[in-house]
Amino acid sequence: MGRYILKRILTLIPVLLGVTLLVFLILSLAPGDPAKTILGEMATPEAIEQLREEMGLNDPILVQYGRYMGNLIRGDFGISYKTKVGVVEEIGARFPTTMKVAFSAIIIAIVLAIPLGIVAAVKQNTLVDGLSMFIALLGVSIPIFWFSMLLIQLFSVKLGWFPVQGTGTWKHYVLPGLALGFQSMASIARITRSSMLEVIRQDYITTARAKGLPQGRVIRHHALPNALIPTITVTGLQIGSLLAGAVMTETVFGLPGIGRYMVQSIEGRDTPAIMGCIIVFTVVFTLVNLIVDLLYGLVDPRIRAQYKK
Amino acid sequence: MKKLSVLLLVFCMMLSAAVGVVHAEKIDDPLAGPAIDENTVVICTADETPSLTTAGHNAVAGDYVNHLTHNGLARLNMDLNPEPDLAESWEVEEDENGEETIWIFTLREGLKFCDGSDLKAEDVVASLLYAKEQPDAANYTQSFDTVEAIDDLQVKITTPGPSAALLYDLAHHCCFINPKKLIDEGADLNEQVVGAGPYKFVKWNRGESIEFTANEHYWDTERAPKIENVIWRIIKEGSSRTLAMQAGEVDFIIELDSASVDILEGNPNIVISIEPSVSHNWLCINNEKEPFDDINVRKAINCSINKQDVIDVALDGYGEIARGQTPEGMLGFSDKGMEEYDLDKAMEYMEAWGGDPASIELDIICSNDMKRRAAEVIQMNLADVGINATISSMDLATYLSKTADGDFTGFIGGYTSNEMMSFLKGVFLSDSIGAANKTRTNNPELDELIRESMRTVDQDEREKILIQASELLNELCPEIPLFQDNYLKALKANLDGFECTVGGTFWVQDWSWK
Amino acid sequence: MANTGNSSVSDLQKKYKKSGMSRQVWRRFKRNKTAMLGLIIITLIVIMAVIAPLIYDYNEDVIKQNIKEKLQAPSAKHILGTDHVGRDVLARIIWGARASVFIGLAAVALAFIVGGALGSIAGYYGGRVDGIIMRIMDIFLAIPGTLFAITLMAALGKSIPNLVIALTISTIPGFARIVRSSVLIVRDVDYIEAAKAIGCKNSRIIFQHVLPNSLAPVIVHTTLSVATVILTIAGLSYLGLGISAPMPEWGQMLAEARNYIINPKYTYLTLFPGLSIMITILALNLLGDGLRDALDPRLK
Repeated sequence: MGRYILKRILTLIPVLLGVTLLVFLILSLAPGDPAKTILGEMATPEAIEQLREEMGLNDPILVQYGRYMGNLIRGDFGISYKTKVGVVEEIGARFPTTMKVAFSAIIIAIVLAIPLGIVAAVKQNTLVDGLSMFIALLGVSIPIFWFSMLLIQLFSVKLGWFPVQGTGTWKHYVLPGLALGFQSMASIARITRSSMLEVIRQDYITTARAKGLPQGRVIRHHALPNALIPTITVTGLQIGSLLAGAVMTETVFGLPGIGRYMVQSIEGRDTPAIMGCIIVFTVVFTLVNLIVDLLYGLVDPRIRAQYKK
Repeated sequence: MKKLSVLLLVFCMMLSAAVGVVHAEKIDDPLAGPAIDENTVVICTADETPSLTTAGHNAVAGDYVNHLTHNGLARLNMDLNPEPDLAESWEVEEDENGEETIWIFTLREGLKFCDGSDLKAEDVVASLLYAKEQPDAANYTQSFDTVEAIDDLQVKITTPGPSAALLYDLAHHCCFINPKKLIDEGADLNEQVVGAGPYKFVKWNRGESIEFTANEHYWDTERAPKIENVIWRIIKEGSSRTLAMQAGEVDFIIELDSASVDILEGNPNIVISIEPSVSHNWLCINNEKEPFDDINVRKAINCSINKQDVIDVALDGYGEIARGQTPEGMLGFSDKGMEEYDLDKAMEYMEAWGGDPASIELDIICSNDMKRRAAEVIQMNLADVGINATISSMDLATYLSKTADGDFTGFIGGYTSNEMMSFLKGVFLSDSIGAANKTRTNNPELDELIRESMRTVDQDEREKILIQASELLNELCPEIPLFQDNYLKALKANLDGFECTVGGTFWVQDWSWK
Repeated sequence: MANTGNSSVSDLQKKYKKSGMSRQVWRRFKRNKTAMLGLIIITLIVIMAVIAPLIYDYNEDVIKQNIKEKLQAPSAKHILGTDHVGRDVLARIIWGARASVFIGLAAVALAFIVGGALGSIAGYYGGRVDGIIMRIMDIFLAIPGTLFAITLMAALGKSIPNLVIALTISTIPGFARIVRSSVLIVRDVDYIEAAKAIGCKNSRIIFQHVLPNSLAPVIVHTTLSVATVILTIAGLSYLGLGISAPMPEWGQMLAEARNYIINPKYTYLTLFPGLSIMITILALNLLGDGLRDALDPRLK
C-alpha cells in the first residue's frame, strides 16, 4: 500500500511539470507589456525599458521559464508584478479562505445530496423521485454567479440572516458554501441515486428483504455502504468544479480567496500571480483526486486487493 | 412513507439550522448608526491598493491609504493649492544665475513618526532621494535635483530650473516622508508602514481590508482624528458595495455605482454625495494619421458628438460635459474657442476639409464597458455626418501598449491629475509622445507655454500662461473632450465632516459621528 | 475471402444497428417524458437561434442604443423590457441564443473530433502511443476545466475564435478519456478480433467498428459537454473574458445587468437571461439523462 501511494505521488511530478510549462507558455502568448501595465499610462519609455530589464522580460521565453522553475523548486513563486510582494505570501494569505468556502460547499453538498439521492432511488419513478432529481438538475443548471446574487438578495438583503460580504464568522461562509455546493450537490445526488438503484437490484438485497428485514434497515445497513462507493469518487471529482466555481463565488461575495485573486491578477496581467494560482489549484486538485482514489480502495475490498499485487 | 420521513427530517434540519442563525445574533437597527461602533468608521472601496509603500505605486487606491498614514512637506487644500504640512514654511532663493531654483523648507518643531521617533530633516532627505530612484514615482520626482539637510529642521532642495511643480510634487504620495532608518536598512516599507500621518497602520488582511488607528503623535492637533479606528474594506462589485451599505455593514462608499443611486435615494440613513471631478475623458484621435492631421476633420468630429447623450448612456447621467481641452476646475482652465454639439457646423467643417466622410477610417478602442457605451453613442453620432466608425474592445494591457505606440486611430481615454501643469505636461507636451501624449500633439508654441508655466512660480502669472495654453489647445482641438465624471459617494447620514476636493481627496481625520 | 468475411461482419453490425438498436433506443427515449421535454426545448432553442435574423435586425433591434427608452419594465412594446441603454431584452435574448448555441456547438464539435481521434488512437493502439497521448491529456486534465479556459482567454484575448479555441482545448481531454475507455471496452470483443483476424485496416476498424459501438457514453458526454461549455461561456462573460459587447450573449447580458440585480425594480433584467441559461442547461441535462437511460437500459 505504501509503495503504491509513493508510486502514485511520483507519477504526479511529470504532470505538474507539464502543467507549469503549459501555463507558462500560454501566458507568454498574452498581448501587452507587463512593464507598461505596472507603470501605467504616464510612464516614460525609459522607465518601462528599465523595468523590463529588471524583470528579466527581455530574455528568451525558455530562459525565463528555466529561471521560474529554478525558483519554484525552492518554493519561490516569484514576486507579484502588481504588489511587489512574494506570490507565496499573497496566496498563503488567501488560501484558508478558499479552503473554508470549498469545505462548507462540500459539506452542504453532501448533507443535501445523499438523502436526496437515496430517497429518489428508493422511491424510484414516483413524484418524490422526480422532484428530487429536478432539484438536483436545477443545481447544475443555474449559473453560479446568478444563484449567488439571488441568495444574497433573499438571505442578506430581504431576510438579513447572513452578512452580504467579507469573512469573519462562520456565517460568512454559509451563502458562498450554499451557492457553490448546490452545483456539486446535483452530481452527488444523481450518482447516489443511480448507484443505489443498481445496488438495490442485487441479489443480496433481495435476500435481505426476503428474510423480512425492515426496509429502512436494508437500505442503511446493506445497500448504502456499497452504494456510497461511486459517491465518494464523484464527490472528489467535484473538487475541481468547486475550485473553478470559487472564482465566481469569491468574486460575488467579495471573499479574499485565491479565486478572486486570480481574476484580479488576470485583469492586472500579473503573470507570476496567475501562475501561482493555477499551480496551487492544480496541486490541490490532483492531490484530492489521489486521495479519492486511495479512499476508494479503502472502502472497496476488490480494489484494495489490487494494491497488494 | 418512511422515505418521506427522511426527507422531512432533512427539511427539519435545514429549518432548525436557519432558525439557529436568526437567534444567534440580535441586531439593533444596524442601518442608522455606525457599522461597528462610535470609535470606528468602515470605508468601502472598489480597488485594493497594490502597495502601502508611498513611492512604490501610482494607484489612486493607494493614494487614499497613503494619505492616512503618511504626509509630505506640503499638502493640497480644498482648492488644490499647496499649503504647508510637515514643513512650516518655505522660501525660494536665487542661484548664481539669478534663477529661483533653491528652496529652503523649514520643518515644524517636535515632529514625530507614529512609532514615536523624531522626524528630522535627514528623514526628508532620505525619503525624497529614495523616491527619486523608484520607477513608479518617476513622474513626481523630476521637479527636484538635489536634497540636503541644513540642520535638523531645514532642508535645501534645488530644482532643475525655476519650478512651479515642486510643491505639487511634494504633496503627492510618492514624495511622502518615511523614516531614514527604515530606508537605510532596506526595510520593506510595505510591511513596516511608519509615517507621520493622522493614522497609523495596524493590519492588512490581503484582499479584504486594511485597518488603521489614530496616530497620537500627529502634529496637527487641530485636525487630529476624531474617529479613532478606520477599517478600509475592499469590495470589488459595485452592487455588493451598495448591498453592504444597505445592510449597514459599511459607513462610506468611495465609488458608488450609478445604477445603485435610486435604491439608496430616499433611505433616511444614507446620504448620496455627487461632486464634480477634474477627471477629464475624451475621444482621443491620432493627430499623426490621415485625415485626422487636418484640423477641420477633428473639429467636424467634435461638433458632431452629442456629449450629453454620451454622459447619459455611459455614466447614467452622472457627469458634466467637458467644456474645454483641459479639465474644468483646475487653475488655468478656459472654455474659450471650444465648440459645442452642432451638426450644421460639423457639416461646414467637413466641407472645409473637402474629403469624403465615408472614406474616414476611425476605429475606437475601448478598454471597459463604460467606454464601450460611450463609443456606441459616438458611433451613432458620427453616422449622422457620414463617418462610419468601428469599435474594438481590448483589455487594459493591450490597450496601453497600442495607444502608447501610436498604433491606433482613436480610443476613449482619460487622464486624472491634481493640477494643470502635470496634466498639460503629460497629455500634450511633445516630450510625452510615446507615453501619455496619445494624440501625439507636437506644437512648439504649446510646448513653450507649458514649459513657461512650469517655470513660473508666481501663481497669478502662471494662471495667465495656463489659460493661454488652454485656449491654444481649444483652437487646435487635438482631442475630442467628452465629459468630466462626477464622484458618486454614499455615506451614513450621521457621519459628519465629509468634504471632497475636485481631485477626489478627502480627509478621514475630520470626520465624526453625530 | 477476406473481403466477404469483412463485409459480413459489418453487414451484421449495420443490420443490428439499423433495425434493432437505434429503433429500440428511440422507443425507450420516447417513453421518457422529461427527456422528450428536453429534446423539444433544445429543438426550439436551436430553431430560435437559426431564425433570429428573420425576427430581429441585428443592427436596428439588437445593438442599437435608445437612451430614451432605457430600463423600461416589460410592456406590450417591449415584452421583456429594455436594458440600461434601451435595447429590447427579448431581441437580445433571442440573438443571444445564437452565441450560446453556435459557439457551444462549434467548440464541442471540434473537441469531439480532436478528442475523439486522440482517444480512439490511444485506446486502439495502446502501449506507448496510449501512454504519450494520455500523459499529455493528464496534464490538461490536471487543471480544472473552467480555470484552464479562463487562463486561455486571458492569454489569447477576447474574440469569438479565441473563445471557441479556449473552450475546445479545455473540452478535448474529457472526450479523449471517455472515447479511450469506451474503445478499450469494445477493442477486445469478438467481432473486432474477427475483423483484425481477417486483416482489416486499423483505420477502418476504428471508424467502422470501434467508434460506432462505443458511441453510447460519448453521445451522453457530448450532450453534457454542450451544457458545460454554455455555462462556461456565461461564466467567462461574467468575468469579462467572454464575448465582447455589444454582441448579446446570455452571460454577457447578466454581467451587464449585474449592477441592477439589487434593485427589485429591475429584476427582469437579470431574470430572463438567467432563466434562458438555466432552461437551456436544464433541457440539455434532461436530454443527456434520457439518452443515457435509452442507450443503457440496465439503469431503467
